Amino acid sequence: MIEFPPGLILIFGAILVPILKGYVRLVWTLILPLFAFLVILSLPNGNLFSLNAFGQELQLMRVDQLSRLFSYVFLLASFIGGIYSFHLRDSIEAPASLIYGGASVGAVFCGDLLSLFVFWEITAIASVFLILARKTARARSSAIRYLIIQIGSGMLLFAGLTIRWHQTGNIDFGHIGLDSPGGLLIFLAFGIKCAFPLLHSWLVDAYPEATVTGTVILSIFTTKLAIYVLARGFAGTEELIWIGAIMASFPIFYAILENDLRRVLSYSLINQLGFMVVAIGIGTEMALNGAAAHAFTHIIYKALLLMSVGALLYRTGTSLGSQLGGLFKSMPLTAGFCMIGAASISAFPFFSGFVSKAIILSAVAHEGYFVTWLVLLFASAGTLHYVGIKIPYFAFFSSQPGIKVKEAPINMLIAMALAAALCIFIGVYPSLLYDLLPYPINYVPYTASHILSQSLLLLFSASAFIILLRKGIYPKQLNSTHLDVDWFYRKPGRDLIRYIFIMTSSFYNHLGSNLIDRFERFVYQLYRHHGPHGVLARTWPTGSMVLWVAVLLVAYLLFYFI
Amino acid sequence: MNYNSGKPISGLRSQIPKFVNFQNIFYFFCVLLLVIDFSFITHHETSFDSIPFFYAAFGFFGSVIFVILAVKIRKLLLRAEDYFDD
Repeated sequence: MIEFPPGLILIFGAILVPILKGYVRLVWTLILPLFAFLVILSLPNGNLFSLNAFGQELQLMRVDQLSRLFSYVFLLASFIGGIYSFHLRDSIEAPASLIYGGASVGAVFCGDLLSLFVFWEITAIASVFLILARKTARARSSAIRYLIIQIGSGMLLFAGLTIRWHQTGNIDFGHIGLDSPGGLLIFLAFGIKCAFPLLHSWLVDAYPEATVTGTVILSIFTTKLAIYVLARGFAGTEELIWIGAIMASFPIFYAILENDLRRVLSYSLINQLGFMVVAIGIGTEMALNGAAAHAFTHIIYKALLLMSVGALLYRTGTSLGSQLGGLFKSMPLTAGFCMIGAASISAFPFFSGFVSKAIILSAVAHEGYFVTWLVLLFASAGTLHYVGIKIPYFAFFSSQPGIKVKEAPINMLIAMALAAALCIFIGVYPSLLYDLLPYPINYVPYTASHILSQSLLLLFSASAFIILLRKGIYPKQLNSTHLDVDWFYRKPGRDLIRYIFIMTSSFYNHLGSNLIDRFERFVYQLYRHHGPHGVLARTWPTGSMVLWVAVLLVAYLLFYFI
Repeated sequence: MNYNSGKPISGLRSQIPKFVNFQNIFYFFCVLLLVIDFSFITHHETSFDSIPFFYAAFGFFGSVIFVILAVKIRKLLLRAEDYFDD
């Protein structure tokens, strides 16, 4: 049995990747997650590895069902991502993806907040390279905004953990709760990475700007790591229910309007996270099972959707809905895989989304949160519209003559086929996923009532799409920008900073020139008095000295007699 | 600002007649499911989902409402593609 954090297998293994070429590199990038998976499989539950540092015991390997489930799906996604990015000749993206994945796996096994912080920051730094690797000006500025926000989240986590350390004397990562200032800061740090409403703009800003493979990898780790830590630290926090409900509903509007299909999928990512956040807020065993199961299925179908849109971007050079269309004939396999992903995210019966989303909806209804239940139902109908129908329709079926391309490269097709097979397999045999869940579960997703209610919801939502499209009411796909929260720091915020910069620089200039002026005058005065021709430096004749001594003597005598 | 470079909606419409048969099958399924739902199945997830045609009506009208809302919201949010680039 190997007793060290399994995430390190990927992190140290990544060092070799830049010097390897071709199939050797592929095999190496696939062996690493596979090996880490086997290691985790062989581990018993419990705290298996700890270090003593700063007077604290750092738990680097807390193995339980929840951390196992997230590590399995992270490694599975790393494996699929490794196949998908086989065509890359670049020596930054592949190692950055592995380090990012390794840090995420490392983070889910952390039993204390300090080691969590270390892995938390490694994910931030490794992931930014996946955006920078796009090598466009837009991607660069987006990457800088992304990094500032991610590091900001890390700083909040650090501040929160030090306050907690000071108050409680330990930094164990168990249930945290919102009843202390440290807890609040940690909640905010997790909230940034989980894309809470108003804190979400980094996600929809940066993810669509990353490389073809980068967006797929980015969609897997950061946000789901945030779901894991929220489930661990804030389960049953009532505030999460309405935060999640807002997350599930507001992205619908943006996703319907947005033209860039990768940005549509980024908004849909927030919407899906909303379901998980609601479940964590409810906090019952069933709800937490639902959140974990949905995170698992979501990682796979979201990666599948982003891989298919990425393949379009790779072949056509664009992911804009207004410029794509009619690609069904040139890329039939990619279209098929995309539709499987779309069916899974829309939660069609016998696809993976159905078996996980149903647990959450049942848990919400069971606890009596009817308004939240209605919001989630509304969000389910929305998901079908903007991902289930919109993505395949605008990419593959709408008429846009003139684009003739080759089918996606074979490695991309294999990766998509694997993810698609998993989507169907989990949908048909949900017990495979249910056995991995953190709490015992006795849930039957396939009842006549469930299947029929979901089918009716989806079919009638789809019929609304057809009617609205035919009536010309459905919004056109426009080459445009839709304002989001990032407007505040990208327009007025940036202008404010520029203004402050100009003001402070002119103030310093003014202050500087004034000081230099005074200094020059001082030197001039000094020179005038002490310089070679200065009064005080002059060589006076002896006679004048005698005269001055006589004057002083007379003055002295006068004072004496007075 | 070039808002007109989007795909013309007429292009989308011209595609739809090819799917007319598909659409008839689709609507047939919708009606069939409604009949089955009404005749055989009772839902009891919440207190009000046993209302006849609840899921169908919610799916349809919910979709119409958020698409119309999205169109309204667009007026407020729409900017040129290069709005942030300067």
